[in-house]
Amino acid sequence: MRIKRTLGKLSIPLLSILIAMLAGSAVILVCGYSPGAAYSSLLRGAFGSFRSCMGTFEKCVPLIFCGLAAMAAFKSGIFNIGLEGQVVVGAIAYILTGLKIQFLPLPLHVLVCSIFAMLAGGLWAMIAGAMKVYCRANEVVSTIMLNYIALNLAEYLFSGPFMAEGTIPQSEALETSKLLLPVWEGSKITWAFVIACSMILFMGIFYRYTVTGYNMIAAGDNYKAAEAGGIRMNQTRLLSMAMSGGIAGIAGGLLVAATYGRYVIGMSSGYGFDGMAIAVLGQNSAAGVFLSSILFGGLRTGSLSMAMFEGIPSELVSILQGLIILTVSAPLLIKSFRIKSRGKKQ
Amino acid sequence: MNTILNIIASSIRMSIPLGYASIAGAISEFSGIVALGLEGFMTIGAFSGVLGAYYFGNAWIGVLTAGAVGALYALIFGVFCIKYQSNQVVAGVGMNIIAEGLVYVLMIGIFGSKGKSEMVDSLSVIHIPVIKDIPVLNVLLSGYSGLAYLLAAVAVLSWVVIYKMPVGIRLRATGINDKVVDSLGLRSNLIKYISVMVCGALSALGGVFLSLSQLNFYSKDMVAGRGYIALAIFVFAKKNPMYCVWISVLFGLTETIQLRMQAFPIPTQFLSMIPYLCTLLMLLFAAKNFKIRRKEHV
Repeated sequence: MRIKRTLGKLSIPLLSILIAMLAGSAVILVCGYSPGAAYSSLLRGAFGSFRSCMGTFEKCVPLIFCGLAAMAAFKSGIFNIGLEGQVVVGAIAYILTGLKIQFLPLPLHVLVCSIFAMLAGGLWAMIAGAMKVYCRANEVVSTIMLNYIALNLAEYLFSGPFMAEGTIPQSEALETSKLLLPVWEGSKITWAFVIACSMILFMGIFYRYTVTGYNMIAAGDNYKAAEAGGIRMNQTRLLSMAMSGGIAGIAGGLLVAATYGRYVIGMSSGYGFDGMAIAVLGQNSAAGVFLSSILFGGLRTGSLSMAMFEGIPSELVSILQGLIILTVSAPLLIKSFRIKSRGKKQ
Repeated sequence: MNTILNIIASSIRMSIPLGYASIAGAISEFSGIVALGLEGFMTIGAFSGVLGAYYFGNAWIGVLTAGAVGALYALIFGVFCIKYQSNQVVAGVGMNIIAEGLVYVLMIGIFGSKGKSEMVDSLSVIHIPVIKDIPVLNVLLSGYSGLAYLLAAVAVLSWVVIYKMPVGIRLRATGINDKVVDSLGLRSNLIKYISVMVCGALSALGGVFLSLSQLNFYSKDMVAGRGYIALAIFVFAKKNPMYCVWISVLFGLTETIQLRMQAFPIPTQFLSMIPYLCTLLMLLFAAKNFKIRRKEHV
């Protein structure tokens, strides 16, 4: 019974990926490439060898955090579309504090910087959260606006007062940060990946076993019932928005610490919307977020090899991602497929 | 005096994409569909307009292409929202991402560059015969691109249709309760489809103004969040097309100020924040009646 339920849960995301791939191959054909070659090189680039698998795992660390961040907001019925802004703010906080406190030993350094990144991201999201709760300002628009403001702020900081020497707009490199070491020699599975996995576990437990987590889900499922049940809506919503932003902030911090070693302008692009896609595809469950982050990480690494070996522009992947979001958003589409296939069997 | 006139004229010019998009969003919102895909519709419109002008050598054919392609693209969104009852916010974001990716890929395929397309024919400025000789009015009313005059017509027309004609009542009723509309023997889904397509076409015209009137090529990320700003505008305007236009002009003013202040020693990044900050402020004061109808899914 349990297996059946899990299969039922999996069927919507899997079918929607399938539909998206079918629609995507039409786009690929129209653009004058061969879908077979595109998909096979995508797959090979993402999971084809040990090295590419490692690359995928490396890429999916910030994605896991972004997915969890989006999930945290979705669970209580808030659309936090401004993840990218929170990622950016978190990254800014991480690099600025990181550069100031280089004297600390590595684990402490990472910890302190991550806390600052989390606080910055959380506070940034709280702006939109407070606007929603106290002024009923729609969070979809406000978070997007905060995105643009954060991006402009970062551009100002790292092409102005905090720009590293040279012509590329970026911050100074962080000495200690690149040292987020691999767990074992020769792998690209860094401690960051381990942290991400434990975060997944934490979130799963948080929503299943804590009162606050239950309140958040209740607020998202039916806010009237939740309110009648004595859950304080404003508080719960603000808290989940802060949580969402905080996790996104950590994603930004890790992007600085584990991937780039500094703030590079434009490094955050796409992480916000990917995070949303991951949460939607993962059906708002921690395990689902994990699986779909691996898929999206794979798309990111695979797209590079697709561009390199087949000459197919890597942006094709973003069409694919968009299609996945679109189809996942439409449960009836999937259901209509299932009903049709059942009808044929009988 | 002349500077003030010029600032007003420039604000009007800057406001046109927002005007189209916010009216488009209002029409879709009236029928009960939150057009979160506005950004994507504008992007598609801006690009397909350039394509049309590129292949046919005429900017107005580009505008027509943009309108048609925008309507078709919005139809996809409509099918998902109406037939398959998608979560409108998620589907809208999906449409935006697809639009961005599609335009990137097509830019590489057709123009061989991600950043800029080739130069194409652009819309010429129209001087109105009598008005162009009257001192003050010549700056204020004459010398805009044809799309600006079209916007004025669209605003008035949509106001008349929405508030003064039976079709408009049906449209508004659909947004309030589509089951009632169905029970009266009208097809609410048809009304929704039409309004979403009109929304796509109009916002594509807004996009094409950016690429064929302000410039004469498509450049990457040229829509720059205007679709989302337009969402905030029609909320603030309470979906009234005339108010949409006026508020868009205010936003045009912020963009003009931003351009004019570039002479001052303020970092450009802070200046480019101005429209977004204004949107945030406006959201704070906006009416409380805008709720995205949430489906229980997600």
